[in-house]
Amino acid sequence: MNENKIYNTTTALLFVSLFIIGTLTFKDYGIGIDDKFHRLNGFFWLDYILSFTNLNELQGLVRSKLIDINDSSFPLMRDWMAYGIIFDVPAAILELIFNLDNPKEYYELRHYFNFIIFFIGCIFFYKLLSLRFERMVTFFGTCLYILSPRIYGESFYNMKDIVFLTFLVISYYYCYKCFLNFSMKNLLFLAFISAISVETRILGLSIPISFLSFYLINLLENPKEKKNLYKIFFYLLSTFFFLVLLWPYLWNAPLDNFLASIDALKNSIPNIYVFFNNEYIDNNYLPYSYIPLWILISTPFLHIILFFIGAIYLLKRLYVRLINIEKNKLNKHLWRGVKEKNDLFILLNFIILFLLVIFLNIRLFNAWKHLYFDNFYIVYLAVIGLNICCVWSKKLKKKKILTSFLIVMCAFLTFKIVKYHPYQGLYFNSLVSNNFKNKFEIDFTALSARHFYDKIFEIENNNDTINIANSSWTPLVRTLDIYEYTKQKKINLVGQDYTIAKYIYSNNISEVDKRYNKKYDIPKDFVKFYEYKIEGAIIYTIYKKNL
Amino acid sequence: MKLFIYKSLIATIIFFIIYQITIGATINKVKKNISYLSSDENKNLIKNKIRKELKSAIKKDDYLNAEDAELIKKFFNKIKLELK
Repeated sequence: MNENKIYNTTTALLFVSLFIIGTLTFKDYGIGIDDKFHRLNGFFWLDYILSFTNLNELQGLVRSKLIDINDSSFPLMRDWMAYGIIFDVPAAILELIFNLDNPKEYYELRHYFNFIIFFIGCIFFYKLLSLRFERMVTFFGTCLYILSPRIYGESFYNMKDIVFLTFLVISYYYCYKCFLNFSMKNLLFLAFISAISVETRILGLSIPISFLSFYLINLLENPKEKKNLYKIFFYLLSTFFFLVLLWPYLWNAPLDNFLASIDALKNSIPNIYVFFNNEYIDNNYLPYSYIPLWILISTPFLHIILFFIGAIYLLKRLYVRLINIEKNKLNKHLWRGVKEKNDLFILLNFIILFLLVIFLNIRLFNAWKHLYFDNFYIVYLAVIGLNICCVWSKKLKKKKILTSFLIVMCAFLTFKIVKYHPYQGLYFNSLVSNNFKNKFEIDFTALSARHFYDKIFEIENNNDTINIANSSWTPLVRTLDIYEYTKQKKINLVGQDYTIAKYIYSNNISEVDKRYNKKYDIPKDFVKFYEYKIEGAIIYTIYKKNL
Repeated sequence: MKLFIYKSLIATIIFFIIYQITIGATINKVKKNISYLSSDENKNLIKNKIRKELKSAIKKDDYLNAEDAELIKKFFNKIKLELK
């Protein structure tokens, strides 16, 4: 078998295995604190869309579902009108099509749908790499993308950031297609996917803005590009058209509401304290090290090393190109060929977005969840690093050694993903000590709440009501929905009323500074009863009243 | 022209980074301190410290030394006289 055939077969095997593993394991993941809100958002906008039709019976069903989604821990919908619907409305429609009334089933359906979107993103990432790199690099590059433990784990329940990451990958694929062939067809596809990206998260605006800016740089490099100016207008108008079409929030007042959605970005993340490096820090004033440190400790070491190789190589190449322009050498441009152009496009996007997020004091919490889209840039630059290693290994005639090393590393990452299952979203890399892991907030999305309830039901197998207090900001009530009614009735959540509680659920998630605000302090009459740890990271602790 | 634009863009990015690392970081520090001083957490901390001091004062037999006690007594008497 020749090398091409081997890589074709292994790539097909990789995708089939990913699909099968995802299909077999999507039910293992807990219900995160955002699941219920996404369901509410989906039905809220589906009701709005149906109000333009005559489907009264269907609208009645949607409204009854809306009434059922009642939770005092939710913010008011009128404050979240600008929240995207591209995942939530189709998920709500799927729930209606499959006629699901059991909370466990409709949440699991959303998790599977979430995974399918991630899976599609993996295919597009592979397609993007196959346009740019040789087979071996494409294959292992795709492996790096799939084997990012946090991203893989979150692909089952993060209905915002992973969905955005996927659309960003597809956008960059079509950007590359446009660089190769600036046709109306490619621009139309890019416009459509750009609109979906913007609708998912307003940060998706970076795609049309950077595409336009890069076209202007292109004009500097090649004045003949002026002839394509009308195509750029076509792209921008199509993007806005698709954006309005796909976003019901804009139907009423497209421009006003679009500007309002940009404005809403400032307040979309609440002002709370986050536990970072053993300190509770107001998320209005996060240190500049917040994002870099989180990425360094929660991304596999292989990705980080290759990322630095790739980033340094690209920066050095950019510097050399600039110097050559300065020396007024003929035919010297900022890039040579489409491949270099695409690398530069992605590098500049990464640098600008990264610097803006770090320096503009954007509120963040839950590790770097809001920046999971950066994983695309990290892995892409890591693939550039991998490509360089591949070129070196060919020169030194050590390609087999590199291939073996990559296979071992991929096997090691797969082992880690299996070990963390189903908490890959809480992954820390092997270089982080156990003590250091516990200096950071861990289970913000309360995935372990399901594990916690199962533990409680296992201990308390009688019919008595169990009073459970909560020594954290985690809204435990949202996970309770997936249990049958009799089990739900057994649990009485009493907030911070420790005097009547039998058990206390505790983790290091707090919206207040625990040093000064004592509301989450464990009373002296409670003793540590159970602690759930993964590779040294304490996910949650149960305290029991000392009777 | 092309080179001028590239140089301007690079200069802008470098200026932005240096500004944020130096002046921006200092402004953030000041803002953070002001925010902390006026926060509910800090108010509670100060209240708790006062309470703690009062409690320890009550527990002590002689909270003030003789000299301070005499001085405060004289001061109060003076104020009392002036208020008459």
